[in-house]
Amino acid sequence: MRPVVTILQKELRDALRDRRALATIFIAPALNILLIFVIVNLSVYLQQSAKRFVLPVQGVEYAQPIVDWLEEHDVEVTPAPEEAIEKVTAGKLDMVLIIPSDFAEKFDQFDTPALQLVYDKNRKDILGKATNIKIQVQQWAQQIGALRLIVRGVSPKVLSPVKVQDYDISSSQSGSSMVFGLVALILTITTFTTSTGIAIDMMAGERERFSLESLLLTPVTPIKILFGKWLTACIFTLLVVALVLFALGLLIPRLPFSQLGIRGDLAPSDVLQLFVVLMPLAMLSTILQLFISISSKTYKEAQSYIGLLMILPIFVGYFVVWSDVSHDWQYWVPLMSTQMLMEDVLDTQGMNAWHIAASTTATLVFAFFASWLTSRQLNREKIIYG
Amino acid sequence: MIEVRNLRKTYGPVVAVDDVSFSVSPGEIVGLLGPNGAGKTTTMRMLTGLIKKTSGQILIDGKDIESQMTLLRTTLGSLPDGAGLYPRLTARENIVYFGSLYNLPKKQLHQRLDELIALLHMEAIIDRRTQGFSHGEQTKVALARTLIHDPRIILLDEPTNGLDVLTTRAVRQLLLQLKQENKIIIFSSHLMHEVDHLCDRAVVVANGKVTASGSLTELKKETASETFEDAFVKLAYAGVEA
Repeated sequence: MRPVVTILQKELRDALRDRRALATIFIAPALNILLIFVIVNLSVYLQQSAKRFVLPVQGVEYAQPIVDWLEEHDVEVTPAPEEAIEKVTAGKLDMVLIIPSDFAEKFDQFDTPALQLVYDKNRKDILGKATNIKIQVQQWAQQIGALRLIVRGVSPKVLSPVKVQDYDISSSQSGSSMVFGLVALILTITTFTTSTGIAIDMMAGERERFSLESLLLTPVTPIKILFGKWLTACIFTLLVVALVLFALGLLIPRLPFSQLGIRGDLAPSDVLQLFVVLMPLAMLSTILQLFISISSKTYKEAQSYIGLLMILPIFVGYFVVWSDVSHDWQYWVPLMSTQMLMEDVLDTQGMNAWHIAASTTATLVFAFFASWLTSRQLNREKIIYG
Repeated sequence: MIEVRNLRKTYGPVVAVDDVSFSVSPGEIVGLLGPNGAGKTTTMRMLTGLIKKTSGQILIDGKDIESQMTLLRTTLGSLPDGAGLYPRLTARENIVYFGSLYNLPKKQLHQRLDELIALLHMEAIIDRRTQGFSHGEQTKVALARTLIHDPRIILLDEPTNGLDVLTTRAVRQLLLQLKQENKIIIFSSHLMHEVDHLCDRAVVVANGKVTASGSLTELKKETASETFEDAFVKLAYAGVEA
């Protein structure tokens, strides 16, 4: 154990003296946290501006009940300007609702007064708004119709033999799982990227400087050399992950999630659980970095290969974020399982003990297999003269 | 005592070392000489055990090195060609790191380090980070790192390559002192005046084979040469020379 500690101490000291590399470690997580801050605030802003939907109406005074109904349903009604139809044709106005002056008269006589919604059907950007207005007016009309039937002793149900019910999945849960998927993605990427520079320096750097041969000539076995370096990379990664988690723990409860109708808190217990979930992944990501680094002859070569490794968490991360379905087998896939466990923690549904066991086992099996491969690399003759 | 018998190393069809035999006794400095690519470095690396021999034998005190690898690690000090240092660590930290890896007790480590600082005149540079060290300064630190555990067998691959006069002298004095301490010293070089100054015996390798070995006077006599350099050229480049 003593040589492992000696190597750890040396590598930590060495890494801490590399000020420039240290600074770059913190830039990416800081930017990611800033990204969450911006995304949430931007969403709130967009949603609020979407609510202020103004509808010019001509003849407001002829059908006050409809106007009231619309205003109750998030539509701001304004009197239409002069020559409204011409303005819509010219594209100066999105749409106008025209209430005829004989509306009340026809309404009282059970004739069907027609409202006119003037808009350009080719304009996709306003199609949604127009449909919304039509639905609102129809709903009001249905309500009146139902009342008329009831007065005559007929059930309004006779008018609706079948109905289609909306099941809106863009509810608060789904919205928050997008946000938390992003949080999980940021944490995975942090776990994968933090120690790359250190790992490259400890392995490819050692080859490039020709110090590896002297190191292998000491009585310390390659596996112990590897463990010392692995431990260094793990400590660094987990330290930065802890910092990022701490920052998210402070930031997320202060973001205006409630205005988005999203549950958005991150309790200290969640932070702790996330950290535990990320520990095996940190072991896996750092050993992969070390494996790639020792298989590369130079710093530059290692950097380009590790760049490719980074595609992995991003790809898996997006897959998990965009696919809402979860299968049990996914908890046996390293990286994907961590991502899913994190979402379980964040989604308040909590983690299943079997899932934790599966994920940890699978991740650690992969990590130790990679460490075996890495120590084999250190034993290869080519490592010295190559 | 180190004995090398019919050592051979091949990489696929390439024969790096064909047939090398020699022996070195304690208190002896033997020069392993030869043109570039003759197989000196490969031979040295086989002696450290980092590269496995294809065939032949390497015996230390009559026993095969493969059976005593653990012992070899603590009794061997090898300075590889172009040995690098950790640039962000000071010279002292570089050397102490290796001392700790050799599991030296702290007191012994620092005592030994002080000795080496004095022997190699490193007082001025010992607490500076090695980034930006001159080639000579780097070699001194690497040499001290190699000798920190007071090894019985010392292998030096081109130790005086590119050093200035003062540093070369310091290294030379150190080697002579180690010889007096009864160490087994093998050093490779292509600088003939170095060999002339230091070696008791020389082993000349060309194309992976030993073409001559013996004391320097013997080799000069054998080739009817005035200087050792002439002798070396005749021995190493036999058949190539016009």
